[in-house]
Amino acid sequence: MWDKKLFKNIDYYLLISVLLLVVIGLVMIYSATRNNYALTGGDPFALVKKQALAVAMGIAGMILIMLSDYRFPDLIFHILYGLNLLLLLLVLSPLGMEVKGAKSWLNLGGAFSLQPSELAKLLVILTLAKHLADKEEIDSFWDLWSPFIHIFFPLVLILLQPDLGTTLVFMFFFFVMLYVAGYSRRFLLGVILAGISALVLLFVSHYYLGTPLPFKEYQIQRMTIFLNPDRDPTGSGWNVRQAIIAVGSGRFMGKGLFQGTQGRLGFLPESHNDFIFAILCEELGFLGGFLVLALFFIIIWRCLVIMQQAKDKEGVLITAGITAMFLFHIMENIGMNIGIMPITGIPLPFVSYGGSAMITNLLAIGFIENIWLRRQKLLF
Amino acid sequence: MKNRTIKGLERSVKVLTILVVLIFSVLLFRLWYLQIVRGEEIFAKSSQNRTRPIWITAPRGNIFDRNGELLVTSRISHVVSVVPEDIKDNPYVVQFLGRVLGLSEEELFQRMEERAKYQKNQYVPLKRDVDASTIGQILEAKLDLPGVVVEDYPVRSYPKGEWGAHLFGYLGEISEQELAQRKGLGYRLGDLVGKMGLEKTFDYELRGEEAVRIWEVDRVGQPIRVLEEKKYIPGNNLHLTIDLRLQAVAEQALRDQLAWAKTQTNPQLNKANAGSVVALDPRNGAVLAMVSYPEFDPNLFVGNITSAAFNELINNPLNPFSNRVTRGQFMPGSTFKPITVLAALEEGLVKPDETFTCTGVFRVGNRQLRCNPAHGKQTVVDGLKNSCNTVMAELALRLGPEKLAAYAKLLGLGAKTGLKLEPEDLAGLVGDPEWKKKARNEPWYPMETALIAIGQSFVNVTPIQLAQVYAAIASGGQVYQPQLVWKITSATGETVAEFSPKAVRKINVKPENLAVVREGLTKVVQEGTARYAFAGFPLARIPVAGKTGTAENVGKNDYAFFASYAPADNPELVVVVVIEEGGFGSQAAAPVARKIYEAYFGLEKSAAGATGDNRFGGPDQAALME
Repeated sequence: MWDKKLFKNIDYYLLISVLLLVVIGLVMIYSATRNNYALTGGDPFALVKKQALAVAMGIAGMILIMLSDYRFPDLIFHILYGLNLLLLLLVLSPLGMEVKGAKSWLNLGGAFSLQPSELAKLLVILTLAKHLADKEEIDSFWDLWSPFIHIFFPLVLILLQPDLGTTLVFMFFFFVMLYVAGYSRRFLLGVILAGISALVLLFVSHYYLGTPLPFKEYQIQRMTIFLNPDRDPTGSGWNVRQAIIAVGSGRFMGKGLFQGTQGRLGFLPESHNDFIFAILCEELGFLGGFLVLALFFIIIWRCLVIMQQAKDKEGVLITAGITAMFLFHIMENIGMNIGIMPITGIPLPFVSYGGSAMITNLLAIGFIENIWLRRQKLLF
Repeated sequence: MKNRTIKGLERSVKVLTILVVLIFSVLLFRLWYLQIVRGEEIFAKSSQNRTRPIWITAPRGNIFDRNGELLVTSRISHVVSVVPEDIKDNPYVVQFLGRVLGLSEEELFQRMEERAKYQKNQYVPLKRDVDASTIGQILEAKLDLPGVVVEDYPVRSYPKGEWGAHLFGYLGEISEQELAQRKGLGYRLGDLVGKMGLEKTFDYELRGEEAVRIWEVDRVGQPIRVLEEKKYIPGNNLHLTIDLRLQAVAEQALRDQLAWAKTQTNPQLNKANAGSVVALDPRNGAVLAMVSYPEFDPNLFVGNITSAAFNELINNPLNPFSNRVTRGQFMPGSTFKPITVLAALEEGLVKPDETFTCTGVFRVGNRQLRCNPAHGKQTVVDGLKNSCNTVMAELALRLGPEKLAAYAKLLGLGAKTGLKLEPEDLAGLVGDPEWKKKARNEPWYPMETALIAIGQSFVNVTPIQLAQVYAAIASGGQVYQPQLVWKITSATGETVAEFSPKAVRKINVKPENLAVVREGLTKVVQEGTARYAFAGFPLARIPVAGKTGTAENVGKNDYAFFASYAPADNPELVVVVVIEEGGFGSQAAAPVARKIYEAYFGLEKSAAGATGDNRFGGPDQAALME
């Protein structure tokens, strides 16, 4: 299975950027949590250790995937699709754990838990890519609607948790994948506009006719507060304000590693998770923020290159989905850290604390590398 | 699996690339905007976010008497301070503090609002001088009380209680007006400052420099550690000219006298309820004792005075806050007479051996001034000794109102003495025709000149002015500014400032004329109106000179005066006593002065004069005016 050539052909730009981000993430998690007794229970490395374990598992999974071929038999894809739905259903069952109003977690016993919606992103990308790739032509009505049905079930289950952020990620990579797959742009635009109209209609009828909304009040509040955080500076506007203060106060050079105050003193909650970028910017300044942006840019750039060189339609679509997933995560998470995107609770890939996301993202990189390694037949 | 390519892939990748570059550009631009363009401004915000300064009052300087006896000091207590922004939305903390500090929720919010007006994100004092058991309760619950700190706090302590209250004054929270006046001197809202007395006059000297401690706090306002600290500099000490021993005697004597007066059946006497005493050194103006009664206990104001106690003081009709020595303006009655005699002698309008005949009634135009009893033949010395109104009225008419007023002013009446004590002393009044025309637009009547000559009608003096007049007579014409502080030292004992006696002016009068007045005053005590009050006093060894006075006040009992100095031949001490509504000066006021002289000269208490019953009698008793 192992091949020296294979090893030689790994995309190191991508791999090293990812690994650097992982290391930065571990350091920043340490910085953000070492003084938080409630989180660490006294061991300043507690969360770093857990995250490192996820990294190890993720890298192991990544290597396994790189060594296999992404072109799995059809049966495997059916199983993966079924497994995904099963996990998402389990989360909604009494086995699921509710954290901060969302039922997103499955307890695996002990201190470990799984967030199936993270894994779901990758599983849906893989199965959808397979589904789209298998289509010979896109001409019948059914060809247009089958991908919607494909994504409909997992999406509804995630919305039920409710996890609005992940739903948005799905929408984003779904449309990018359809676009790359060659679906008519007019059609896609029509669908997007229809979706937006439906959303507008929903709100209009809510405010004028009193019909119920499928969102919770706090979700709407959280989604719109970034436009004017001073509207509720001590409530839902708090996080945005504190994140901006953390980022801005880092100035060019930062306050110095472990010298930040916004996270350590508790002004910025979730500083190891959703707002880790703000903490990084506070401690490492514009230099640190720029470095992280640059590493992400390299990752996206390599993904786009690999996408172009993929051997087959399936590889192209998997890469497109994963690229879109990363891009949306980066845009949304960094955007909300610097006050230009709504707060949705989407973690920063490779950096934020969270095992499920880390493993999912490393597996995703495994697939990208896999596609890259198998771009040209003559290598094998 | 077939190898298929996707139509238009290159184009899709191009579009995606543009999207990616766009997204990253926006992110990078925003990052640059926040960290580089607005970096400094936001950095300031983050510092404010996490730091809470607290100002810790420095111990105020001590106040000592002339011999180094401690009069006013500070003891260490505690202050509970809060950051209003950190606690106002935390009902548990508000409730807890309200309960242990005994404050209602409204009171608590009111205090925070007042004190946090111009001060955001910093600790403001909520309650001072909190007792140890309450502090214990707060410290125990510390972890549940973000935004609250307990600090050591020097509390002003007045070990002498009420004694000297008007000298020392009291402390209170700085008002917005005071804050505006003292801009740039380091005063801050919530500071305790002197509200009157020496505490106010020398507030800047006494207060020292407060400490600043900058706490780093977490999100809820729980202090984590001290980031920066500046130690305080204790205030400077005041060394007064006051002699604690004499002050104590004066305080006690005045109280005893008022208590004794209350027990009397004589309706002239038993209404006495207020009074003042001032004793100063005529050789330099140093004030040795100063009492204004009723007093108040300045200790009441150091923590947070209850409104009940405060209202009681405020609503007392006798106004305990008023310093009667410097701000009580009284018609001086017969204590004015030496001025009349001196003026007439200086103007050459009377010879020392000239005699007047007192028939008991003196006519001025169609009005008459009574003198009771008729004194018969009197020289000016006799006139002083017996307090004869007839003699004075005759002299007044010779002098005319302008000259009489001019001499009164020359000796210091009608003008502030310049004593450095807040609130400033009042100027009193010396009326003359010009004044009356201006103030009342009325003509002057000759009778009014005669009335001024005996210290009635348009003449008002403060006890400290009267003391200054008698000091001038005692010192041979030298007028000193009364003085309370002679030295200021730092907390480490170095001299910061020293105040030498301040001669205001030398009154240019002939020594022989002054000698006549002094002879008259000496005789008042030896054989005149004050002789019973000084019965048994070793006048041969320590001759006392003085003048009794009984001033009429419409609708009130007469005010009793005694203005004096001793020893008459080489004066060291001037004592002025006023007993409001005390009746006769000889009966109500002179015994207080006597006790002060006895203490000053270290005399044994003599039997006679020590009790009130025996101290007065004789011909003056029926006098309408002394």
